[in-house]
Amino acid sequence: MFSWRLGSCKVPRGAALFLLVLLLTGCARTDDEWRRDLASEDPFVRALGAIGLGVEAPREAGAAVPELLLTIDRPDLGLEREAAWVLVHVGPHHVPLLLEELVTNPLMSDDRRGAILNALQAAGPAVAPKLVACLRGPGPFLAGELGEVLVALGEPAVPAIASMLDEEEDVRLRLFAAFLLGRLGPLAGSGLPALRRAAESSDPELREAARVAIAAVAGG
Amino acid sequence: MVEGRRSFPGSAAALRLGAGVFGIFLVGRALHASLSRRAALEVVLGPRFSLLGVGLVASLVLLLAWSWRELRARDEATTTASLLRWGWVAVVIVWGGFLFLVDPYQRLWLELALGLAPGLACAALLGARRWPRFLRGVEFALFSLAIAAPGLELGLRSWAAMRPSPMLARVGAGPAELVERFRLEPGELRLGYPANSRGFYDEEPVRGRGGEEPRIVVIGDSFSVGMVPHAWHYTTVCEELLAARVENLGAMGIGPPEYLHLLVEEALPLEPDLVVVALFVGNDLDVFDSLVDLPDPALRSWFQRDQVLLHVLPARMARLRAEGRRLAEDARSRAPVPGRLDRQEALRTYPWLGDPSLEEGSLSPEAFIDLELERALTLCAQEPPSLDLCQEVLLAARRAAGEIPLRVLLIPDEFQVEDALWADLGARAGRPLERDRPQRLLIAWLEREGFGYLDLLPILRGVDVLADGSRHLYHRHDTHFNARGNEVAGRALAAFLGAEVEALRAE
Repeated sequence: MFSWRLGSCKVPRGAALFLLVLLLTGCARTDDEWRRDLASEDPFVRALGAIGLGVEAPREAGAAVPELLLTIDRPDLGLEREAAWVLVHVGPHHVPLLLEELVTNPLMSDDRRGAILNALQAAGPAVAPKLVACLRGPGPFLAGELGEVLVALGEPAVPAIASMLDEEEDVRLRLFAAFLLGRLGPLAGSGLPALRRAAESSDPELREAARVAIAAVAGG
Repeated sequence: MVEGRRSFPGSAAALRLGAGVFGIFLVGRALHASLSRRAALEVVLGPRFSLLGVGLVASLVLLLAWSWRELRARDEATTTASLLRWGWVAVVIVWGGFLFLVDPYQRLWLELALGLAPGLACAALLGARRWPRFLRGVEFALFSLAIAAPGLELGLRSWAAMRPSPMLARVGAGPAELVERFRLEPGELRLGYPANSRGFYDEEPVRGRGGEEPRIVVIGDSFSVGMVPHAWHYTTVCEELLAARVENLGAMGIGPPEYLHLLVEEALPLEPDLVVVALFVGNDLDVFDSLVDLPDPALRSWFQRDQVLLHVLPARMARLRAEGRRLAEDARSRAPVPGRLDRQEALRTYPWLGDPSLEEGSLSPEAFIDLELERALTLCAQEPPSLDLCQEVLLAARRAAGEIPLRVLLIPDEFQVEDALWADLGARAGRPLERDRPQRLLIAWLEREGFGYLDLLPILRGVDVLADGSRHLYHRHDTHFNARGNEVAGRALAAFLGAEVEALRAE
């Protein structure tokens, strides 16, 4: 009942299960071992290390992000989709790394760019101020892509977008913010005061953009 | 000695003992590999990870059962011949299954697959005891196949080594996947011109040598896709000047390894009279070669399906047959393509074709300068990183092309042609740069190896500057030829090939 018969031996079932659990847990790689894999000469081992570390410890997997990004572009490893999937889990904890990649590598593949944007979106509303800071700082040319992420984040992103309306240096950012709020439509209700202020701006282009956005937000 | 247990005297018993220990080593190694990387493998394999686990445990159980039986057996122990035959059959089955199911090869996948081999062999050996008559016939048939398959592969490889041909070339899967990823969608409109059914920026290709007009294939990267409507593309300009057919094969973002793939898989099956490989100096000497320094080159050549001729050859023959049928069909029913702009419409739609000052940049000025600076530092401050790879590819391409002449077109980077850009980069580089270094190195090698080549650099530099002091041969902040650049390149290529084309026509 509580044992298995193996030939002439009786093996207690509890001991067998204990051994099995020991085997499963004893063999499993530690985070440090996954990190060591990231330094392997074999690109497949590196990619698998990045995936393993990303799954096991996404918060501590910053070192895995560059390898995941490389793996997305390496069809010879056959792990492109898996790397993109793991990046979505790891990325939210390492938003600055992803934004840096977007800013410094304008010629990246569409697959890599798509995976990064998915990861940023997966980070949720908390990422919105960082996206806006990137647009204000080193990445104004990323407006199209980051704007899509902000729109996808929806209502929680409205305060961050509305803050761009108060941007005094760059009128393009203010126009862009009005455009994004307009695209959000009724979801951007909390941005109406900022839009109304913008509608009284001295810049005629901004006034017009704000009026169009207000109509979209208030008019539903 | 305990009654009923068998000692292992003699070499036959030692072989069985060794086989058992080796089997346990293989299965244990596979189990350890799968358990230690479980977190990653569950993501990569999904539900197949559980199947793999069941398979490995089953393999271990079968191996232990066979070992147990061997230890207890007196007179009915497995014969050495049977053990070797079934062992070899199991290895070949794993090889075939691996080629069929696993792509690309990785050492870990092979370790896991080899963990299943002892189970297969032991299942057969145990079964041979129970159903000896039935399995004797199966053993003979499978063993014959297991000898024939690797033998045939060896024969094909030997033949390929003695008589290189496109049909027996092994070019790797990485380049194929890159080309698949980056080629245009068939019918995709680009600047008013639809990509052909193969995803190239040209008319439907025509197959067969010895027709009335000589046929040339040009292989390249994004320069083959171009930044101009098809009528302005340098291959079209060349085609019109030569009155010969010039097939344009290329895809964005590819490099020399992919050119070799395009040559073997797409260009040579068209049976052209001449092939031109267009090397863009700006990035073809600094490419990422996924196959360099990969571990296990010997195992990879047997376990990666695109390296195994038994897999490559039938697929290639089937594709050729299908391609022949399709091209014949296309020739019969060629209809006007919707969305295609004629020259006048294209000029109206893209006024920058006639006036470079109207061009809009594809990159921001900062990104463009950064890119050009990176290229200049990579190519002109040191030996270009992928020069060796490029040379290897060209040699392999010439071998694969066999009797078909192969020429090389060298396309310079913009900073080598535009003096103001070069001056700007020189000020930013912070170290000495040799502007023509890539051409100098490459041309010396091309001449040493006896390649026919056309270097566009002196020709483009010879173009008069416009009012603003620039030659305007590259699209603004883009790094690819504009209409002027394509025109100059097309004319130069036509002049370069003219004599050969005339000779072909005379033939």
